[in-house]
Amino acid sequence: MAAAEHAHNENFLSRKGVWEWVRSVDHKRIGIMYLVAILISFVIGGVFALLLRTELMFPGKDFIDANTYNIFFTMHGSIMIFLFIVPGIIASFGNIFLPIQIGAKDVAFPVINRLSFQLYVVGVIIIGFGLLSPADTGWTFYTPYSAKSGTSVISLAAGAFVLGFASILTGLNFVVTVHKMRAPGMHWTRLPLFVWSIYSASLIQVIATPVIGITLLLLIFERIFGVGFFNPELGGDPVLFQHFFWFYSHPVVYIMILPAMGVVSEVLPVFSRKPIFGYKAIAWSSIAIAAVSFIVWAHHLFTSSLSTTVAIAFSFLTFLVAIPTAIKVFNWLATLYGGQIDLKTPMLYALAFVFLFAIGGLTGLYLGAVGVDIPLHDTYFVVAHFHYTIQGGTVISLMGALYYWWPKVTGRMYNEKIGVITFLLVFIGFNLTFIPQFIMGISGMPRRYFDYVPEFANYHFLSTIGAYILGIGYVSAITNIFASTWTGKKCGDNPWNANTLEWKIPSPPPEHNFHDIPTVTEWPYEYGRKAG
Amino acid sequence: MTFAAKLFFAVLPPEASTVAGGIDFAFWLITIICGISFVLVEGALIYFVIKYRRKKGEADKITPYLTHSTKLEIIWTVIPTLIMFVIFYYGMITYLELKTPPSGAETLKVTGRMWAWDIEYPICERDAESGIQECYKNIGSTNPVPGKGIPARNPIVVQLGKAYLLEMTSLDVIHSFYVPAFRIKQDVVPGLKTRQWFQAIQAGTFHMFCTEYCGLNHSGMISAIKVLPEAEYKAWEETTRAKLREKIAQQKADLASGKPPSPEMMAKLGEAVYTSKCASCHKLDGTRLVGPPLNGILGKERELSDGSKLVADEAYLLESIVNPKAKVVKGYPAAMVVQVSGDEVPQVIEYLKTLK
Repeated sequence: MAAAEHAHNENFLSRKGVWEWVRSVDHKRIGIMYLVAILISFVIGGVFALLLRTELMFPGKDFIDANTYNIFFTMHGSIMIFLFIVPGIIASFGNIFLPIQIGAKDVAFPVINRLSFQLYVVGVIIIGFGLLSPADTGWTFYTPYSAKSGTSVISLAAGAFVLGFASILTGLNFVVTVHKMRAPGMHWTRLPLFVWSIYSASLIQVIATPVIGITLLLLIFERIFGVGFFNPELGGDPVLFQHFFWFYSHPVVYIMILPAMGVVSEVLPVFSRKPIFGYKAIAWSSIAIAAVSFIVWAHHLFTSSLSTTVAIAFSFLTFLVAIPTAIKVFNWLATLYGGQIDLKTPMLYALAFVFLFAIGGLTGLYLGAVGVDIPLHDTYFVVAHFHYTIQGGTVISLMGALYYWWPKVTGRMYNEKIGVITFLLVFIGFNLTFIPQFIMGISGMPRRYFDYVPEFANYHFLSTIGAYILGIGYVSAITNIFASTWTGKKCGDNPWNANTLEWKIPSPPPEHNFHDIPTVTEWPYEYGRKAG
Repeated sequence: MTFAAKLFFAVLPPEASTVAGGIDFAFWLITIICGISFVLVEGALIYFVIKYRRKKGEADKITPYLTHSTKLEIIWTVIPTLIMFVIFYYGMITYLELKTPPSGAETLKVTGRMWAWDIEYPICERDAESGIQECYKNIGSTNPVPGKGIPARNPIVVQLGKAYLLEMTSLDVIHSFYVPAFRIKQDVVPGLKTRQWFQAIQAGTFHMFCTEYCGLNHSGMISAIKVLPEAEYKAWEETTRAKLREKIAQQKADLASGKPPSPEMMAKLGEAVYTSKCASCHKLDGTRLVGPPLNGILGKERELSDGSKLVADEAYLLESIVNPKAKVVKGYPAAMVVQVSGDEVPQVIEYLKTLK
């Protein structure tokens, strides 16, 4: 059947030239463009991180000055959040594989999908203009500092505003696609869990992103026209900004992490040769996380000026979000039980995800408990916790997704040995970077500090060494996977012997995915029933 | 206690306030819960990976077809939920303790500004005859160097065992008052009065940090709290009061003589203002920092960010101090925020005049 399909429906990469990419509304090409764009952003954001870590390696000024440091951590945060991790897995692998996994020829609105990427590019350009006088507010834009800072806050905020629309359009497209474009027989209970997770994250994108858009617009109005929303000198309330900001920015961490959980829910069964355990529990916990994520935002404000009642209420709500997360972890562990676990690179990343994300989740319990959060708030403990969930979670999962799916995109296999070695570099470097940060956070080392008191020096030194190893690991791991595009051996349509629909079409996929829309008769997790 | 455990326990700052013990108890409780969960989860992960690993050259196996178990799902939903309640409870009671000051606490007025803390004490001396009153105020120095450890200059002195209520506000942007050894942290917000209390139970000198990013010298906005036992504190207070009385006497003498302060006096006052409020950005040796150097500024030609040129005179200095963004020198960020109060402006200008 595959051969016959080739004749009718050529490989989506076969038409060459830049113009083919620019004008394309093919979800796979848009996904690949997003993937390349976010990985470039990841590398640039990572370089900023290494520059920061280099300055912090020893106490005192020895590399860059305080002003440059403040600009660099703003660039690191903004690039990593707005350009890399928010579009992240959704816009890249979500775009490439969500339509195929539900048996559709494209997303519901292909032209809007292209518009989303175009807006992303516009957002990047606007932020780029700001580099003439780079902002130093941190990616959080807290007022009134952001209302007073002499740097180009407007350009960064306007860029983030436009990127927000790119995000909304992608989310909207996926919600409609999942509702309307499923192949016959693709019931909700047969959807791959990757689709469930993208669907949940898309709902958050559509609902939460407008709030940050409006907030950034208010901030821009305040700066240009002097309208007092957040600046107390103009009669505004600076803490109101924090509420608005986190009303978006807390749910957004679930936009980042849910798709990562989806990838893991796909990779674990394939490489354990077992059905996913607790399919419904995992799917529903995604929806539960999406819902609860909207009512926990004020846990970022425990030290701001909340009334005790409000703080305690938000502490309680915060623990609610921990429960569906724990459920997922237990179900993943149960999936491994009794399997035939093949430690290929994608599986190593998926297992590392479970390992690191568990640490990220458990350290969240300290921060959810309001009295314990007070001394830890805005210290390196929070920085480490955040990086364990978002880097140890989302970025590790994205790396797993790259190793799992890139052979599908190109039809060629990467070098497994280099894959494993670079994985180990990433894993060791990551822990060496962030475990010292947990410890110094507990000891009271505040975040966003250009310089620090001498008792933290050893931790900072270790953390910087870890960061270098991590940087080398990521760059070599990404190089390895992309090099396979040209140097890899042909690996056929289904090298992992996986069951979701993308593995049942040729590699690289045909332009319109399916010659005939398939009819789905079972869920995609029928693994290990029979040998072979 | 083994050496390893000592090392691990020493990670927490000293428990130097009444609330620290309770918070640390909750901290260790969560650590035990997390430690057990960590061992169970990661242990299961590693055990399964090792036990069920596919050996080299092994043929495909038929694995158990396990898809779900309602019983298990209930167990691993209910148990974590109950544990969450426990953690939430300890978080709540420690927080309530942190936020409920005892009655009769002594009030200190805290003002955060870029990039120092000013603390006003209720330690006042009043001259009944002239009505002049002076209260002790700890004016923070703007430019301690964190790499050099706790700034020796001007620590905030408090008494061991006495409860203090901090009434805090900010002059410019949001700061956060953080004393790790006391386990207290409270944001300091412009236009708002926030409160935090503490009662020290251990004598010594402890770090005080700003933990809300506040611009250029955020990491230099550190100070120290010095906790003194009652006798030493009383001695310190007496010395402080004596200084206040001296100041009042000086003022009275100036008043009686009826002459306005001399330019030399103004410049002397201006130097103190400059050191505490300007020097972190404007050096006096001709080298650039965040702002341009200001030695010999009067009469110098300046090129502004819009390309125009002018000669720095007193009017220009005045404008640049009270409205720093009006005329920005080319090549420097328009990052300056007004720091100097009305009386201090002529003093600072008088001081700048004396510099070559």
